[in-house]
Order: sequence, then C-alpha cells, then structure tokens
Amino acid sequence: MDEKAAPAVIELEGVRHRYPDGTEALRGIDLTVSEGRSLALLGPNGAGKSTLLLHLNGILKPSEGRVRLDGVEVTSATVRDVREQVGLVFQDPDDQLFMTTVYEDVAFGPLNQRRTPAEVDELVHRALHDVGLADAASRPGHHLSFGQRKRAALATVLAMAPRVLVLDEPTANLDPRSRRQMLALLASLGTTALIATHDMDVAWELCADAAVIDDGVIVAYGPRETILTDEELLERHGLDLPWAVRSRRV
Amino acid sequence: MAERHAHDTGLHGHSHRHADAPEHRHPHHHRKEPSRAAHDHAHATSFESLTYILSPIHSLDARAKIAATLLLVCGIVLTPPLRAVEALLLASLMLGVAAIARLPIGRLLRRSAAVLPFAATIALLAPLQQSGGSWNAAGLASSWAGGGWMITWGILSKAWFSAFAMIVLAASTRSADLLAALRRLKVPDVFVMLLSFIARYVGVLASQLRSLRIALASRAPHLSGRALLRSSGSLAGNLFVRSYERGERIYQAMLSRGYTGTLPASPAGRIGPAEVLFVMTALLTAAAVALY
Amino acid sequence: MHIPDGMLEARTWIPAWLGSAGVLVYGIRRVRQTLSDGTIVMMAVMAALIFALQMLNFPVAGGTSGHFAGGAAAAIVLGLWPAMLVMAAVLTVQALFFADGGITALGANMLTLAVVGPLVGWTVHRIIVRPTSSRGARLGASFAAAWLSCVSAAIVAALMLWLSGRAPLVPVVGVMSMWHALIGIGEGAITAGLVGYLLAVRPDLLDAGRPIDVRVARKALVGLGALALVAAGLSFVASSSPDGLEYAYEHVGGALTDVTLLGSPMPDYLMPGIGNETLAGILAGIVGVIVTGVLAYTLLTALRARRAADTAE
Repeated sequence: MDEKAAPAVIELEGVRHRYPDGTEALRGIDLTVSEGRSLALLGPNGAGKSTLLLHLNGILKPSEGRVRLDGVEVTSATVRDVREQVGLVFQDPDDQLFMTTVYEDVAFGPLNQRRTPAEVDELVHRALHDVGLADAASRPGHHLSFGQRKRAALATVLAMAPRVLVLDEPTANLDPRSRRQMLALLASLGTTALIATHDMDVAWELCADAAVIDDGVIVAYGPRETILTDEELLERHGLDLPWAVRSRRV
Repeated sequence: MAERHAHDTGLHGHSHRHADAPEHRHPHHHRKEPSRAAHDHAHATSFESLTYILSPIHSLDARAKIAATLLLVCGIVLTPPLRAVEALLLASLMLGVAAIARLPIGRLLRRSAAVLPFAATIALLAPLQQSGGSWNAAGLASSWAGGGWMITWGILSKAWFSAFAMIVLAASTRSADLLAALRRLKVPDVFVMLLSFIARYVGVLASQLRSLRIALASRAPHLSGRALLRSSGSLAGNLFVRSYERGERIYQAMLSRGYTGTLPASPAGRIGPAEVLFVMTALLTAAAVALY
Repeated sequence: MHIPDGMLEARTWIPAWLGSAGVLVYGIRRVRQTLSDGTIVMMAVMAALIFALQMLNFPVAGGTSGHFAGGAAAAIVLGLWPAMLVMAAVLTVQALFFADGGITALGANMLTLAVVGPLVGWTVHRIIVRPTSSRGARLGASFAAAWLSCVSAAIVAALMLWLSGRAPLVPVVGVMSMWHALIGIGEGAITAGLVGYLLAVRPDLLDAGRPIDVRVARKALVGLGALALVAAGLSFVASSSPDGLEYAYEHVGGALTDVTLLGSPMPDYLMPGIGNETLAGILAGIVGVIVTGVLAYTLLTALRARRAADTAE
C-alpha cells in the first residue's frame, strides 16, 4: 500500500469497544481507509465487523481509542458532519428501508441535510437511476425483491453523496444474478469504500486492500495480493480463497 | 381481524389479488413470478394491490377522501333508518365512486358484507324489541319511537353502507398517501410514525412469525392446547426480542442518515376543484341523509 | 372486539371518541417528554409487532378460536403510555388501511382495547410485581393482568352496546365477560409465556424490571376509578330512558365475540331462549364476584405494601 499516494480518510487508533453487558467486541483496532481505495474487512461471524462499522460514523463510541475522519476526531460535536461524509449501508435492507415508499426512503437523508425540495428530487432520482431502480420510486419497500431492496438501501446512502461508503455484507443472501448485479454496481461507483464481507470474490474484485479481523483484533492487513492469497491465514480465520485465486492455482 | 392471516400458513393466500387490478401504475406488477421474498412481504394491507389502479378517485388528495368518507359515514350513522330514497341515493353515489375508481365492485361488496353477520345477529332480534332507542341525528335529544323490521333494516343498512365507504377509501388510497394526509391533517408526528412503521413492518414481522410457527409445527406436530399456548408465548417472546433488535438497527440506520427526531415531510399534495367537488358531494349527501 | 360503524349511538360513540382522543393526546405528550428518539422508534417497531402477534390464535370452546390482543402484554413490556399509543395505532391502521372496525366506532374500539385494556393490565401487574418478586409471581401477575384486562375491556364494550340501546345490561355484560373470561385464559397464557421468555433471555427489556413507583400506580388506580364513575354515571343517565330490551341477549355477546373478535362461528352452546337469561345473569354474577375479588385483593396488597414502605421510612 502506498500511503503517500493515498491520504488517509478514516483512521482508527487503538479502538476498543465494550458493550454494557461486559463483552469486549473490539480489542484495540488500528485501521486506515485511504482516499480513493477500497478496503475489504474480512472475518468470521461474531468477529466484531458490525461493531467496527458502527464506529465509523459515530453510532457507537469507542470505550478507548480514537476514530478520525480527515484527521478530525469523531465526537458528539462533529458526529453530524461525519454522518454526512460516511455513508453506512446495513446488511438487512429492511432495517434501512423504514419509510413507506422507496422515494421517501431515499429522500430521508437529503431531507435531513436540509436541501431544497428540487435538490432532493434530483438527488433521489439520480441515486435510484444509478442503482437501476428508476421506475421503483413510488413503490413501497416491501414490494421489491430482496436484490432490489439491497440496491434501494444502497441508493438511500448514495443520495447523500458521501465521501466514504461503508457496506455491511453487500452480497449476503443474494441469488447469483442479484449478486452479479450488485458486484457490477459497486465496481461502477469507484468511491472510497470499506466493505465488510465473507464473500471473498467481492473482496478480490472490488478491493485494493484487505484486513482480516477475528475476535476483536485485526490479525492481518495489507494489499489484496498479499492477504487474499494466503491460504493458511484465511483458513485459520474461517475464510476461503477467492475463486479467482483458487482457479489460478489449479 | 387478524383471523385472515391466522388461518393460513400465509404462503399462497394473496396471489389472486394481482388479477383484480385492471390497471397498475407500474408495469412490473404484472410480472408473473414475483420473487418469494417480495411476495412474503407484499400486501401489508389487504387492499394494497387495488391502490395502484389509476383513476380519478385514486389521484384525489387523500385528505379529501378521508374527510368525505368521515362525513358520509357520520351521515349514515346519525340518520334514522334509511328510507328507500336515501338508500338509493347512497347506493348510487358509492357504486358510482367505486366504478369511477375502477374497483372490482363485486369483491368490495363481498368484503363489506363481512360486517353483516354481526350486524344481523343484533338486527334480527330487533323485531322483538319495543323500541329502537334513539335514532335521530341529535341522538341525545329525542327518541325515534319505532321498532320491528325497521330497526333490522336500519342496523343492517347502516353497517353495510358504512363498511363499503371505508373499503372504497382503503382500496383507493395508498398507505403512503394516507399517512401523508393524516400528517397534514395535524395528527401528531409520533402517532403517524407508529402508523407508518406498522404499515411498513407488519408484513416483515408476520412472515418471521410464520416461519417460527412452521418450524414449531415441523418439530412438534401434535401439541396439546396447553403446550400450544405455552409455545405461542415463547414464539411471541422470541419475536419480541428480534423486533427489539431490529428496532435498534433501524434507529441506527436512521441516525446514520441524519435523523433528528422528526420524520421529514413528504412532498405535498394539492386541494383543487376536484377535491372540493368530492368533499362537497359527500357533505351534501350526508346532510341530505341525516337531516331529511 | 372491533365494533363496526352503525352499531353504536351518537351518545356513545361521540363521547368515546372524545375520551380516547383526549387520553391519546395526553399520552403522546408524555411519551414525547419522557422517551428518547430511539425509544420512540423502538415503540413504532413494537406497534408492528403487536399487530403481527395478533396472528397468534388458540382454541377457546365449542370449536371456536380466539386470538391474542396484546394490550396487557404491551403495557407490561413497554409501559403504560407507549402501550396505549401502540394499541391505538394498531386499531387505526386496521380501521383506515384494512377497513376493519368502523371510523365512528374507532373511538369506542380504542376505549376498550387501547385505553381500558392496557390500563387494567398495567395497573394489576404494577401492583403485584415488586423488584424482588420471584419468577413464578411475575408470571402469575402477567397472567392475571392479561386476563383482567381482557375481561374488563369486554365489559366496557358491553356497556357501550347497552348504552346505545342495543342490549339490556345484565345479559350483555354477563355474556361478554363470561366469554372473555375464557378468551382471557389464552391471552393470559401467551402474555405469561412472553414475559417468561423475556425474563429468561432479555430481562433488561421488561418495563417491570424498573423500580415500582407507588404514586404512579396510585394515579392509575384513581384513573380507573374515575373511569368507573363516568361509566356508572352514564349508565344511570341511560337507564332513566327505558329501552325495553327485555329479551335473551346472550346472542349479542356471542355474536360480538364471534364476528369481531374471533371471525368464526357462534359458539354452539349458546342457544336462543329466555331461559338462558337467568343462567347468563348468574354466571355474570359469578364473574363479577371474581373480578371484584381480584381487584379488591390487588388494591389491598398495594395499600399494605405502601403502608409497609411508609413505616420503613
């Protein structure tokens, strides 16, 4: 990774998180998301991925350590600004689509950004167009297929034009066709992103860098060619080689 | 009411509805094989597919439709037993509106007739009574002294006409529009939010509950009544915990997009001449029926 | 127990509308003041949950089935005011989006299912359960709360039918409370099961886990008393205008539960005929005695607890 060519956007420094019941989900995380690059966050279930993601836009506060966006620490004073810059897409689209129509859901963020109705309209239609749901605006979220809902959830964040996209399992539970659509869509966005996933092909195809998290600590971090080809490392942490790597070896 | 959902495992009960709507706002509704997931979550309201029909009634501002329905039902409820002329007036008005709205009238009539068994049980006893209580618009002031089959007719016709009016409203107005209208009619935000979350999530949670029940039935096909009750309690508890966790995630998703405690207002509709005409028609009909 | 339009007289549904609306407006203010944004979002998801849980049905008697209503359960786990708002929202969606239950009758339906049901359930549960209560006591309290809430909601519905001149007092109250005494068993069992599950898995989610405020419970009792007084006053006014409804009205109760609550055939053991009026009256009396007894007991327990608390200070 060339840190000079790509300045850090998000930096985590010694982040620990303890839940009220005492379990320590994060035990000292150091991680950097660099401008214009995509970072895959890999790890088994329960490794702390989702907890980590919720720190990136200040939904959860670290018990110890710091999270910085563009060098500015995330605090209660800066958190609203941070949430406009860091767009978080949840794993279950039903959590993200809580309004009665897709339009209202996509408009929710821009309206909270106090944009004019005309601007909101423009942003909503562009975001829906970008995810291929231009004709779905007036439909209720529950009328869409699961794959469409995943894309609509992405649109709700794209409409806010964030600098960094943070995606939690963007391809989980998708059928093969929807998964391909989602991969193509994400590849076309080309923004700075952090993608938490078990889907090794997503990591390989979309991300320049990869980090492996297990039991609340980052156990490996580097360019994808180093991390995603290390069969022994991946297996130790409940992961597989990406298909592209496996097929090359055979 | 939940009986409709309760008797089935719910997997196929709704598929006929797509056929009823002559015209949809979105061509993709005609897709033959909606995905399983979409279908489980579809039809959060029983008239939902009908609300996508394009018609002059559907495109009226929902505030006007709510006001007109309320006026009409009040008129029906407050009148003495309907005279033939009044019944004819109401029937032609409502059927006319349903026809303009391109709603499947037979289905609406059947659905509205569902109130009749309840009404009939009371109504058929009416001839045994000596008086029907107060029946006039003022209600409190004086009594309409009458009895016999007049009361039977009064109860049945009022129940059916009112139910039909409510059904035309529900079938011609999408939930998003109803919610926006309630909001603009000054129903408090918190309450509108409850309504909107019910409309959005009841389908999601009902399908989770169905899965839990199917899982239970597969493991324990022959439960005694008591065991069934006990396991129902646990199912409810299980779903409660999962819904609570979902609530937490939804709130996080809302915060992530800048939520500050109030849902942003949706784009406003407009009260135009059509709306005024619609409400005035309802008002005049209601007044004619209630006061004549 | 969804009463449709056209069943109630203006002298019943208009006051019921105003009363429910008043309670709800106050409830919304309270909820806004006391709950965080996050808790309000949670409450909204819980409203959808209660609606979905009304799918849970159970056999009652004579081949009929009842379904879970959820008012007491909501009050026990969410607290009184949130439960009232949640139940009112469920009823509003059923009326406006599903055309289930009328619009003029909405106030009356709210009064029974969204005001009286949660209020009785919450009060009973609050009075019985202390922070030190055993698991068994908590489950028993949940059962009793749900059962009483179901029966008292039914009694209020019966009173409104009577006030509207649709049924004579004793039979309609008798049959409604009898029938709901049966349904209440299912309601109570599911509520107790739900509370038991939460006690085992997430006790932190139970509203009852928080310390009991005797003053709040007392206020609720005063509220219940006031409600009873208003009902009694209205009954007095109404009974001074003779309705002349002298016939076997157990049908009304049967049909009411049949269509509006159960959606299944009328219980076959309720045969028409004047003879049953006596039976209904007697059974009503028995239920009345039980209800009064339980209420009196819970009241006494509460008073004793308060005295104990006072002397402790």
